[in-house]
Amino acid sequence: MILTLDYRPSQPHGWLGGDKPLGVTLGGHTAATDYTADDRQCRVSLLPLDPEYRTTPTDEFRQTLDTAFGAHYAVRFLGRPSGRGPFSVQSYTVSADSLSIGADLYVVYDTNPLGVTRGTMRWLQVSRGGPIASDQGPRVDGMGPANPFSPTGGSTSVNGTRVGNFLSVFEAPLVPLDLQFTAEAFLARDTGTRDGSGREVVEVFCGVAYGWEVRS
Amino acid sequence: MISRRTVLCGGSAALALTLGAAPTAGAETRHLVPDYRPSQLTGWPMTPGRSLGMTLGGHVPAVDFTYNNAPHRISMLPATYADVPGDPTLGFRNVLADTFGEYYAFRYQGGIHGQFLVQSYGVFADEATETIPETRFGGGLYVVYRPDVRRGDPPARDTLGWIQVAAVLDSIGRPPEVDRFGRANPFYAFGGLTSVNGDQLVNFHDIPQAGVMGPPADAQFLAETFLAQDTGRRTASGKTIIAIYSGIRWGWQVGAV
Repeated sequence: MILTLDYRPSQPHGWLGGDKPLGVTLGGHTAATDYTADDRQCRVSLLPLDPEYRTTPTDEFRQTLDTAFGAHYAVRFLGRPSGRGPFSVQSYTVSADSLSIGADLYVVYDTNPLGVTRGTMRWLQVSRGGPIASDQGPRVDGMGPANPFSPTGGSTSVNGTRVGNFLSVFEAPLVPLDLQFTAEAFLARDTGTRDGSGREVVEVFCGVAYGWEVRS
Repeated sequence: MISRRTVLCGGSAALALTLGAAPTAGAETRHLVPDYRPSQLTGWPMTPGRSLGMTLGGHVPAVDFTYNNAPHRISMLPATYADVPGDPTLGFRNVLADTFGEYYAFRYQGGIHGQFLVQSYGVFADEATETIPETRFGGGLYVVYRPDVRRGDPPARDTLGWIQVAAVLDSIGRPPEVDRFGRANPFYAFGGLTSVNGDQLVNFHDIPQAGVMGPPADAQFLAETFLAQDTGRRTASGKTIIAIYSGIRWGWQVGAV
């Protein structure tokens, strides 16, 4: 599986997420945009310019995941781009208007890219983000303490069509900010099976690295 | 400040209150089974207010509280099992077809053989304080689906979810709508296949809640919530077929006592 840049206009994504606009991507690929807030010139920009394809996550990704969820989930990194079809990046962009700033990443792929018949396709994300002066360390962007899976990735339905996709959204009010967000997001399979110690086995395949920053 | 679903309270007369509302009645106990548990993780994202990532826990049919210097009560409506949607106020079928009929066709299956385990059904009320001047109240339902797959119930998989049509009845009135949070499909966002500490399950969780400062607190939340599956099949006209199994009619009401 490879990554293709296939930027498209704003479109529905099928998940809960993104208040502005609700339920749709920002669309396209705007690498940076300037705004003024409280008489200060600011810029929101992508980091890196295009999302980067990954077959293996960083050690930080592995350790963060294991620390937070290792008690109940046995994560196996397969380190291979198994399956058919590419990751199609259809939105990776920043935005600013009179009220707010934002950014998003939207990736689409075959609903069942690995041809698996069992288990559930999910996404795992580990990120760093927040005010530049106070990095609080890496974290798993999952559905809270119960599981590590992203709430906006996997199989969903968009206007009657089943799709596999992953969405990441940033939104903030139009104020001066200095923050940076970087993330690794990986396609994974919740296998529904358990290892010898009773933990649920999750297989991790390929992913993307991406992010954005705001400077005033 | 409203955390999830806005409930604006109008000035109409207080509603009659139902006490001791429990989600069972007669033959419904076969499919709608009280299985109350303490507050627990749901496997869904944490949200502001009373989080949808954590249940209220147990069974709290009613709570009294003081608001605007007057006694008030919030109480759960009797939760009932339903093979098919039927509440005339909600008009589930029409609302669903009107909202999503362009892309989806809905097939009503008329029931399940398995069970809905009700692990939390109750209300809460947080009176205003000096630091938080808002009075908050609401009620929640948490259900775990236990299928009888041998008899034909759909097994747990990620195409299985819930469709909820809900309305807020107050002096302003919020018409029934599909509870979809702007999604491009009719499935409710905090239900379906998830994982809790390594255990996969299909569940449903909602805590419609409100915060008020000043206006009368007098409203009713009413919902029908049905188990549904994206079949992956299409009609001759190209619409995706969604099978709708059985569901639960539930809600809460609040008013001056």
